[in-house]
Amino acid sequence: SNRLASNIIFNENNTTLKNLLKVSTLLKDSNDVVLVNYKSSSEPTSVELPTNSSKFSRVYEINGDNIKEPELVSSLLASVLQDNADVENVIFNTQTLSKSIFPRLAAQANVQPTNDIVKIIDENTFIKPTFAGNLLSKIEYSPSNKIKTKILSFRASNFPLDDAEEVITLENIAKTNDIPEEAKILESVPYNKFVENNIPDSTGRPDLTAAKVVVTGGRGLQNKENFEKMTSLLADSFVASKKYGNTKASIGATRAVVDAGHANNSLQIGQTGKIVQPELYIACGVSGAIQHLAGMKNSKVVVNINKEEGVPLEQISDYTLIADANEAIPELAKKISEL
Amino acid sequence: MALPKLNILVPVKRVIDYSVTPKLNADKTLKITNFAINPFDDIAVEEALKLKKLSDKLATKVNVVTITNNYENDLKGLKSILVNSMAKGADEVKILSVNNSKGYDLSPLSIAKLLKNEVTKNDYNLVICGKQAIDDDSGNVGSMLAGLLNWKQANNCCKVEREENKFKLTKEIDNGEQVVEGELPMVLTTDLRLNVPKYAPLPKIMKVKNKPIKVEEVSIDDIENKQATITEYMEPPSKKQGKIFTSVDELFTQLKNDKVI
Repeated sequence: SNRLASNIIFNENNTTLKNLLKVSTLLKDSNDVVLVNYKSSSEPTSVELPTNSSKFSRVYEINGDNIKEPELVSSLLASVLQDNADVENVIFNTQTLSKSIFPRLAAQANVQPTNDIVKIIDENTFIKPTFAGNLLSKIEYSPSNKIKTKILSFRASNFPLDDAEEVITLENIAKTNDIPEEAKILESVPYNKFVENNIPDSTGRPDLTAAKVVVTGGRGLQNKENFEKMTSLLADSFVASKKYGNTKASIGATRAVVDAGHANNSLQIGQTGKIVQPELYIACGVSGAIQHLAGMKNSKVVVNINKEEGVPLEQISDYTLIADANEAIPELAKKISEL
Repeated sequence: MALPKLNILVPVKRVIDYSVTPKLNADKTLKITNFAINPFDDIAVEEALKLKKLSDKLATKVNVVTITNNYENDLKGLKSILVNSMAKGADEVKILSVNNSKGYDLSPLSIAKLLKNEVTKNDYNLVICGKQAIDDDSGNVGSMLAGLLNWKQANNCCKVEREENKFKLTKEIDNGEQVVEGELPMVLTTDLRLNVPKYAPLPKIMKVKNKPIKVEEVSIDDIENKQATITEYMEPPSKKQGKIFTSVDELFTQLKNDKVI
């Protein structure tokens, strides 16, 4: 057959699929996308895609409600990879399941993977953050040491669509191909069995890593009760903001606050927590340790509310308000809710 | 029912001290002056020793291994990390000295392959790795090793419990926690909240500090190691100085004017 060189996209999360398609186009101008849809009932089925890349040459499906174990998902992907021997790149988003899968898949394919790519220079050259984001490193795949397939993970939010790109909404992407040997793989690969997820209630807030606005509380918010009160107050006020789609902001926390038990650890932003990149980041009583900055420094606009002047966060903030966050937040939240 | 004997390997890496900001030399190479054990690996050592304490001590082994391709240069620093591990209670420590890739970073693939050899040669049934090294921030080795061995894996563990033959593992995931369970063998990677590593007691350090440290020469596939290499480091673009306010009113007005809200 006359197939073009193709990329596999592992779609763990419908909201970032359009960004991964952008990545695929940047890697190879005219390409043929093989989609592996990780479908789970907790995800919305409808998905927004750029019009020019809304067709897939093949669509495989993994049932995410039944198959949650990275060992199994990785082996199913290996089988898809074998079924598409001409694939040049396997593209992942940087999120939980993908992060534990792509290195396993790469090792089994005898390929050195690259994680957390924020910029594509060309199809063999990538930029990724290192040292808690204090430095960027340029990674080059040697063309003379040609490997058949590169296995790569990307920070999806670094690859937005252009303003001019048209999008369409698909209600469902239909499966076209079965994963070869699926039943055999599920039976023979050893895995740690999924028992349960413990997900704290986010009371209607968007996922931290996908949020347009993030309100983060630090040590300056003093205690658990106050942390909850202040961050919710400010985050909820964004329902009045048309610019950000009239939705609540997400709430984040620093490691210090999580360690002190004032916030659940799923809220931690930083080198070892979540990496967020919202359009607006409001830090309340956060001094900004380098590990914290690593998790948020690429936010588009940073607002820093701190009673102390000259905290490290100030250096990367667009707006700094020198004030006690506990006094400033209610006032600011009131103004935003009256927008 | 007799519990399986635990034979634990903890691979550790020497990295930049977490409290130090890395700098670049004029030629874009790294300038790092303070080194320490990778904090997540320190947590891994602690967890292995904790498991040993909770199990049959005589039947449980905790061995620590580190890898270098610049032995002469790294020896002193690596030794101090390994002496600390011994002082805390590790049974055996070892340096794998790679003799054929000087001048290049060892890739996670090369490291995972060296560790795979260690595991098969010494019949380890549990490997505990840090979830990522704080220098390259890759977080690949644990899952790669599990893949090469075709073992179970559990990434980002914040709780490790042993129940009869089974291990019950709580992992940190994007929006909360996930619990999984399984029997050995497996590879675990450690997250921050798994434990708080203790300092090695000074008298114990004195006791073990002159113990010889095993060094084993090994080779890697040098061409494969250079499949993907870091060719340059860069400072991230710096932001211009932001505006400073002292009242909510001023801030709000400016945010509105700039169409931020």
